Amino acid sequence: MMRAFWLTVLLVLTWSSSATALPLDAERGRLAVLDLDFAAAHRILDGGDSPDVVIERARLAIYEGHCDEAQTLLERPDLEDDDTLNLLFAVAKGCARATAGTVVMKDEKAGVWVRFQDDEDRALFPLLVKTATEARAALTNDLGASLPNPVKIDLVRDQFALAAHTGLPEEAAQTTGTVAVAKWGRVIMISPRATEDGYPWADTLAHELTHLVVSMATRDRAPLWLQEGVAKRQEVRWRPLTRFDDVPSPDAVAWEGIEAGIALPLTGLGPSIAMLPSPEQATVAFAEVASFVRYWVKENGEQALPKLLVAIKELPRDGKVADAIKEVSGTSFADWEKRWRAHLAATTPKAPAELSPTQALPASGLIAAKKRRLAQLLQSREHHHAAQTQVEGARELFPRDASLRCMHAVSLRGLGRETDAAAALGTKDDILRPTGRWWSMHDFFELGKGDPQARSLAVGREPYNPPVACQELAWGELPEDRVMRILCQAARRVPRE
Amino acid sequence: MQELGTIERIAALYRDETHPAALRLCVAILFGGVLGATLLGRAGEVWSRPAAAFVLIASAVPFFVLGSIARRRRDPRAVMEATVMHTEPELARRALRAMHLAEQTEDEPDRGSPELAQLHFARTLGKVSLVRVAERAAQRAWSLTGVGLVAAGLAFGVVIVDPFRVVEGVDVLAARDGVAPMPVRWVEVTRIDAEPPSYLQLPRGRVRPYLPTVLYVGTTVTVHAAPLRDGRRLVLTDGAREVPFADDGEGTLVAKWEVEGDADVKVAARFGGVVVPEPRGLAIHGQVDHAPFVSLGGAPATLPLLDQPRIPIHWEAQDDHGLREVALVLRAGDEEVRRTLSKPKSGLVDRGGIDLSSDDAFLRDSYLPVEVTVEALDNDPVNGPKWGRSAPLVLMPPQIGEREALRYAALKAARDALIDELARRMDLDELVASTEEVAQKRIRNTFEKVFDDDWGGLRLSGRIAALARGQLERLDTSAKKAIAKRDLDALVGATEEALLAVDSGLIALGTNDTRASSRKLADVAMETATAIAIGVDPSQRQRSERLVNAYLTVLDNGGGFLVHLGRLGRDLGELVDNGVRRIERPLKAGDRYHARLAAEDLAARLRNPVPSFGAAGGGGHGHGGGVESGGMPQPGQGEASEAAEQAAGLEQALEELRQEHEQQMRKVEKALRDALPAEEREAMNQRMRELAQKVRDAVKELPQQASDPGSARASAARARAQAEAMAGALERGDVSKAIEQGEGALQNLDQAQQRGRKAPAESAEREVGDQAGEAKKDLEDLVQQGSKAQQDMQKAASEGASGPLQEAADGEEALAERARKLQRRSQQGQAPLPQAMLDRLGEAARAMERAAKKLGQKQGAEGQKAQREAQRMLEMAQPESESDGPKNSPEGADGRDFARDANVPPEARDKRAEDFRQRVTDGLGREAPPHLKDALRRYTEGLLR
Repeated sequence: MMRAFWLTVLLVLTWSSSATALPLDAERGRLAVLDLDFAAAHRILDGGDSPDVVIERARLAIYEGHCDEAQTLLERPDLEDDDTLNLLFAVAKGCARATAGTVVMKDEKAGVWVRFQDDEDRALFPLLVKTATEARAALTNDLGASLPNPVKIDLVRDQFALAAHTGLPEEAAQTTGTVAVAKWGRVIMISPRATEDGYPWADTLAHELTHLVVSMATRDRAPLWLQEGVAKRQEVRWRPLTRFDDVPSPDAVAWEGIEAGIALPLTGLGPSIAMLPSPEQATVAFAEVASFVRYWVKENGEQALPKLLVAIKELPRDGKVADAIKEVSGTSFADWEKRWRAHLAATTPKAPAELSPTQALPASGLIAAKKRRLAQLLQSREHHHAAQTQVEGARELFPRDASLRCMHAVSLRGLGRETDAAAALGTKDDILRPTGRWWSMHDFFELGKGDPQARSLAVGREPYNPPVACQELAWGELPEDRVMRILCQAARRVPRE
Repeated sequence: MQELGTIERIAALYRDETHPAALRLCVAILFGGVLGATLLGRAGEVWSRPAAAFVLIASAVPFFVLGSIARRRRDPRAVMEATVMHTEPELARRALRAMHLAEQTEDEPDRGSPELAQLHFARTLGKVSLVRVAERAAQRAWSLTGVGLVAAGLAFGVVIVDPFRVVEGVDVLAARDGVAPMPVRWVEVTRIDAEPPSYLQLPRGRVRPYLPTVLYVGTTVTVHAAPLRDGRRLVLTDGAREVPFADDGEGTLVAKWEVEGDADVKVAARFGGVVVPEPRGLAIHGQVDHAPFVSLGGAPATLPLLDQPRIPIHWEAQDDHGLREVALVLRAGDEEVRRTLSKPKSGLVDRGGIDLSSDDAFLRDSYLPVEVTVEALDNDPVNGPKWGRSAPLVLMPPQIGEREALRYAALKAARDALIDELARRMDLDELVASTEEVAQKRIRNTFEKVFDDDWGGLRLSGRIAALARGQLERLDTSAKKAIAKRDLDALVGATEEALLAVDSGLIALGTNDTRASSRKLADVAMETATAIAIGVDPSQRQRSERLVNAYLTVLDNGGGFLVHLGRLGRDLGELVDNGVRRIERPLKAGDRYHARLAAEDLAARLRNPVPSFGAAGGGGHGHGGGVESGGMPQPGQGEASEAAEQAAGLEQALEELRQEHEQQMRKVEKALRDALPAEEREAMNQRMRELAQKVRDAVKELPQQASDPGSARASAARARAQAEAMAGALERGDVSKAIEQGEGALQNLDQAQQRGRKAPAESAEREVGDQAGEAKKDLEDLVQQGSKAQQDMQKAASEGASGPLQEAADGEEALAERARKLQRRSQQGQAPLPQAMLDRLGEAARAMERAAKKLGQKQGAEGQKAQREAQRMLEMAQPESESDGPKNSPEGADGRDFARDANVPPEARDKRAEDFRQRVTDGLGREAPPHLKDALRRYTEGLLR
């Protein structure tokens, strides 16, 4: 009888925690946090006062974005000074400082929570909610896992704050040009106002949300290549795909990297691609993992990914991810890597020279840069004719450059030649990769009959470019749509040259 | 009863005789009691009144006793006891028995016959001798009278010595609050002296008694008085303070009273805790030493420093007695600095004027409004010296980034003018020479105006100015060639290159200024955090609010100016604006903790003024690995011009060349110096010291300064300064420098002499001219001696240092080659130096080659001369350092700054050192060409090292 009793106790303890080691509350709490099940984490951890539990309570507070509380908890003198404590404390302290005086907006219905370090970014809130909602739905469909409510996003002003929030060294972020990190159960991303020409923030948000889902679904056991590979795959799947999503193709860039000798083995990427020593290596690394995951999914079917995530989650404590891959696909990871490399070697895909990360920019690049700048300067003084001459010269060197086409179109519009401007802008067939402004002008010239995604793709990249946000309306006019009107006003307030 | 009538007769007989005497005795006792009470009360102590009351009451007791006796003697038995019992005791007893029997039989008739008892009593009474009773009564009365007289006599005896004491006693007993109600005259005042405080330097005076008088606070009033009654403790008092009289040994009393304010001072006698004042006192009005009154010209007013780089400070301070110090006080926020303007030795008025420059260290480092006052301290030793303060001038310093934004806008406008020219040229079909020549002139004028302008003391200088000048020159040269050949494409091409280079310089200027301004704003943000923190203490809340509001204004304004400084400025300016909102938001909600955190976060961010988004090799253009890393680069999006970068590289290379050449010079100097044996060197040094003293003596009669720069006096003063410098150089062993200075002094002496000759005879100018002539003769000889000594030394040294000289020669060759390479690099690159600088660089190279040749020929002195020439040329070839001082200041920012930091030779650490420093400052203060400013600074640095 007694024996049965103790066996039952043991079973219950084992079932309620994937770890059998003590102390159970701390471990169980940590797992609940990693599962993003904050309600359960609170039930387990609240009121606990032992050092281990306090550390997990601090972790929970960081995940929930309550950095002040986390810092207070971690300032207890009886906590053991180890790497975990030091990391958590540094993040809590940095986050507390970076979030002081910030503004929070919530959409309870959509389950989205956004903290704005710059309150001027509130104009982006509806767009963030929309993107997050659509991305979450796509992730549920593709990966079989859902993020709990609310999804938390910290929109920060710069890489300094990004580093403070996440623990990523600022220099590393600057070296690789990191704009976002998914960490501590939240997405921390830089506001598009931080970069002169914006960046594809909407796809970035989808990318980071994917990281959160994969972390949650695997209890943070997914290796880096899988995290980044799946995120690269999912970053465009929340919206209809465009032909430019594959330009340059990850296969091509990966292959170029392998040929150039700067590609790293998939298991040798280090703790983060953001911490690789150069942007070129980061580019190649992203391409490798994206190419591999795409290949693996193509070979194993769409359902293989969700199964793989579950398998990883269910691995025993000392289990290896390679075992999970073998379990799901029947082939070892090493063999898959070989097959993938062979596939690339067989197809030898090529990236356009202008977009190759391994090839130096041609000498004509400097000439084009000069002409571009001269055109900008001339346009700033409304010398459109002279500007047009300069842009034409640059376009001769880089005919498929979307930004040059935009500049050309602006000059022609300045001269009152609307039709020529539309022609100069070109169609999707004429460009290598569109910019936000290009999409905006495309939508404008096509009078709404162009790509239905054009407007959202434009704003999804350059929301603070006034012509983009204001839908190419003249200064003083405002879009009819309320969300775009607010965004347009915010964009016009951004200081410009 | 009939018999009772007999008893009444006896009683009346006795009473008539004794009662008056008894009464007199009571009165005498009472009288003595009253006197005793007053004497007790006169003690004036706490116990005095109760004691007096006791005595008074006790002295009234006999009356009560007398009354009691009288009432008792209504009883016949008492009468018998008091009277017959003493005269005929047996008869008295029989009579009492008979009375008793009679009373008994009256009450109890069965005890006997009342009539018989009565008869017996009557017969017994009939036997009493009234005569004997009367005698007895008379005796008694005499006894009582005697006692009464004794008592009265005693009382009189006590008071007769000083009967006034009784009056005093009554007065003291009636006192209220320690002051007796009836004033009494105690003294005959013989003299009152008044001695004012010594610092007023006023004579001693007399004061008329009992008349109101006005005396300065701190005056000592000495009262001499003859007491009217001895044995009294006399004091001077105003009711609050008291000073006792002391015997001066000559029969008068003296007391000293120090005037502290208005007072009615009286002589009084102190009896314990009570004073009895005299009826009249001395009413003193204490005249206070007022704080100085200070007026500051133009105050109160608020002045923006940007428009007014110099603020005249003209003051007048007045005091009623004397001034000790006048100071200029600058206050900003919690900071305060005091600077002494003058220390008047005497006088009630002090006037003066100075100019406060916007590059004053306190003003330069403050971004908060600065309150300027002049304050004067008087010499009041009585109540302590007091400061009087003028109305303030509030100076609004330029906000952080404000001057830089103005400068940026000016250069941007010039760049925009170049853009317009390019556009015009691009639109031409053919080149018209005259039009383009005019256009070139227009471009040059536009830029020259920017070079000449200043914004609150800030000018366009240094590397960016050199870049712009170089580009203009290159454009001019190219334009001339293109115009001559009528080559429009070449003209357009040259204009494009110039524009891109200037644009690159403008971006670099904006970036540098943004970084510098950001770091300053970081300090302000940190101050804001500190100010917020101190507000936790409720007693500091107001101060905290005041400081926080001031700092937030500085931040807000600073952010507003940053956005006008190009790309990085827009980025960080926006960040600052947001930072201010992040601080204000929690503050408004009363959350100091998060407001402080937000301020600290802003400070940390601004301390590292990098772009908000960066990617290696991309500088924020979106280079990177993917979506998470900001996207792929666009072709043709690199830097359009490397002019700014190349200009920075050139500047650094020039500086390195200058430093290395300077080191080379030191090596040669050391080699030549060490070539001589120690004894010879010491002998030479001694010779130089003696020569230095002679030089000083030769010019000691000359004036040290002059107001008119064109006068003989001014030339003589300059000559003196240079001669002093020569002496200093001789003492340091720098004979070459000494000769140089000596020659300069001779020139000025000659000039002074010439000017003096033109002045009227017997005028001061003529006299100075003559003195200069005398000094010139002496100095010429001394300079020759120095020159000879130098030559001897150099010859000996060169022989002894042949090895190091050859090394140095090789070094000079190498440096000359580097200088030429730099010339070529500049001419071929995107950031050519202005031609003037290139020419200097070429001259420097030639001088180095000459130096190499001379040093190789063991001609140390000649080699050094060439080295110095080369070094001078190298300094002139460098872009002038970032200038941040008033353009037209007579002192010159560098000169004044340097003079403060100058290291005066230890040999001259006396008044001569101060004079010497002043002369150097004055000399440096003359306007120098911009490209020579740094050279002059270094030259003088060596002079005074």
